[in-house]
Amino acid sequence: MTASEARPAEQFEDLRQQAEADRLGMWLFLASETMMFGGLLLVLWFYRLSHPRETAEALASMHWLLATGNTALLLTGSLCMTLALAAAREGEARVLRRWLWVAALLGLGFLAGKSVEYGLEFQEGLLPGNDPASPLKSGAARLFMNVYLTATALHGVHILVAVLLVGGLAWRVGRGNLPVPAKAVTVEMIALYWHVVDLIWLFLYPTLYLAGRGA
Amino acid sequence: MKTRAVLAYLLLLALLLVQALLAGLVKPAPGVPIMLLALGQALVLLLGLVELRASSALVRLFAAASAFWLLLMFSLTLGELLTR
Repeated sequence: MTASEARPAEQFEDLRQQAEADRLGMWLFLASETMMFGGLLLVLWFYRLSHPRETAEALASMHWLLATGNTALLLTGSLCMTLALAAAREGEARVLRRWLWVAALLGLGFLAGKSVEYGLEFQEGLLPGNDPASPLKSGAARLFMNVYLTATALHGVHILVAVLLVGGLAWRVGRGNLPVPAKAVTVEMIALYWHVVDLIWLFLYPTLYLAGRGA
Repeated sequence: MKTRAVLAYLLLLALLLVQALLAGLVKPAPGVPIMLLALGQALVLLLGLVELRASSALVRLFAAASAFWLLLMFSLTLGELLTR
């Protein structure tokens, strides 16, 4: 399919109207995602304020430098997605494909870092399933780690989906199945998803690793 | 678009560095400044990389509605704990 063959779906008058509907639908989906993670963040802050001493005990065991490096990877991925969108709008398919692959690799890097972190935490008895080795004395600290695992694993699944979407998009661009700039809105929607998953991490990271550390 | 994105990215990394320094050097790490820095990062991301400003009024309304819901949920729930 070439750029000249890009046509709107039959219910739309033109590609511009379709793009606006895409944006609105995507924001509606992302608003629901924000609300879901908002609930998890609220639980975490409720724990922290209700059990400050116990959560400080859990925070002291976290691998916060590894998480800081992972945050930098995600932010760099966001930049790559914005540059990919700029390339898509300019019709630069090769540049677009390059930025998409870099973003996908950064997402994989985040997942690899998170896997290493989970491995370390399991060995140290911080995660559920290895309780005898746990250095955490209080039940509330262990409960905080359970919510930590739920929040980060759910976020990790979102990163995995983002990597698959971005990788799939790069593959389509490479095969010439995504004419740009006509279909740049597809890149825009996936970039938006990436940015919001990144945005959620920007709040999870200080909540789970930084605030109150060393208390 | 590209220049603004690169500047926003550099600002995001700078804010991340400040957060990490606060967490590493100050004992205990101050929660309020660290979370305010996170809020600043979110705004830089939304305005610098997502182009929320260029979206239609309806799209911005959707984004604002989810932010308002979060504000309501956090303030009403944590308000009780924080005022005990």
